[in-house]
Amino acid sequence: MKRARVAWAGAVHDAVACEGQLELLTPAVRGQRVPFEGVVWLPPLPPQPAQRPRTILALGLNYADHAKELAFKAPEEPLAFVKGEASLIGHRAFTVRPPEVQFMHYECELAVVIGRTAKRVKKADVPDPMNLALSTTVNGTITQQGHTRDMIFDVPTLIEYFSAFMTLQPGDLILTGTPDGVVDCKPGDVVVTSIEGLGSLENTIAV
Amino acid sequence: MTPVLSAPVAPCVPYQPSGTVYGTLLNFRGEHALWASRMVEPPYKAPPQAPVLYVKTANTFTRDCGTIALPAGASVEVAASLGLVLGWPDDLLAPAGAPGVLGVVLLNDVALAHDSYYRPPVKTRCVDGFLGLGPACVGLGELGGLASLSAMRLALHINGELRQTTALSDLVRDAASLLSEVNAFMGLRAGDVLMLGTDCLPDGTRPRVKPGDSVTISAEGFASATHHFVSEDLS
Repeated sequence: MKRARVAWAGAVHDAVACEGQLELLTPAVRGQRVPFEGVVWLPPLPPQPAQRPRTILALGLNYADHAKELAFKAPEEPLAFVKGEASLIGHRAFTVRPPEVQFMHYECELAVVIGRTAKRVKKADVPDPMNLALSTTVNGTITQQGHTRDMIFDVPTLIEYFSAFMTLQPGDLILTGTPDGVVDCKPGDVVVTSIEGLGSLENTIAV
Repeated sequence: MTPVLSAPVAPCVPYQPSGTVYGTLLNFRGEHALWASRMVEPPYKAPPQAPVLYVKTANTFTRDCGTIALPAGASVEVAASLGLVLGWPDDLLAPAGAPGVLGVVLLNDVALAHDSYYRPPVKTRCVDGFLGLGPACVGLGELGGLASLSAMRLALHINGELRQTTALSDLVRDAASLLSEVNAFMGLRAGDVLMLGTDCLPDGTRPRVKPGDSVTISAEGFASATHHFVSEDLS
């Protein structure tokens, strides 16, 4: 089941995809269906409990071809950085190219949402997502094509690695890295990242 | 004799960040100078132009008086810092806009000792428990405003012995400059915390801790922050 979080008719709602529309889950309007075009799409994540900011881990150079593209040798252990929660935007949202930036690119990534507290998890206990094709288009032209099977560190390995020293909580995210094919994006460019079975995410560089 | 009536005491709720906590590297002149020659060498190749930040994730938060587990065999450093707590004044009529600095919190920024600043320090700084929090966020007004922070000195005691004094007059970017330079590329939100950085000892290291140590960070105007270090329980 695909879940969404949307703003519609002056309020925020959780929703599920149903026959090409969104079916709202808010009790007062439960069952109401609205078209995809009729809502503002928010990041599809439940809000965090107070006093528990979301941890967003992101992997650099987790696909061998992309590591080569950036002239690095493949890392020997996961190369991670952390993103602030303010960086999250939803489907069809605009993102800003800061002035004086010389190169700004998208990275199509499979994001893992932690479902329950994870501490010292062994990789044998983590389900491995299926092999999924991913691709990106910029203004309709395919720029990036890859496959999650080409990750250097797969999802079970990443969860074992991080949970060995940091306890992950429900709602935390691990962004698993991107394959090669990143190009510089300019204001006005429409970037669509797609992952097999998950759908497509469209974002526009604000003019 | 008239008895002195005391005001009702508010229940003490220890401070805990509600947003993202950002740390700042190389923001003290002493450490910046020690690093200057390395900054132009590989892999860095040039000194950083903007503030160099890292994130202390939520799993690192340890409330005042709490215990912090030391991973077996690890060399662990402690360091005193102040965190600027972003927010809006508690006033519904306050003008809208970007949040400002509501208050300041004492912090003990704990890390696995490491000698490279090249890669993001997740494995060294985001270990469970590795951010000791002061007991309270002290209102900026009570401290005399952002500019007055530069006159402050932070003391770090281990088991009662003074091990380091950090003078905020030695900041490369003072609180106002750091905030403005960070906000120039990244909007800080209400609840976020921006740490001013930590200083090193004259030899470039930071005080180390071992199981059984208690570390107290203190500064004028703040209730002190104490954290107890123990061996990691692997059971």
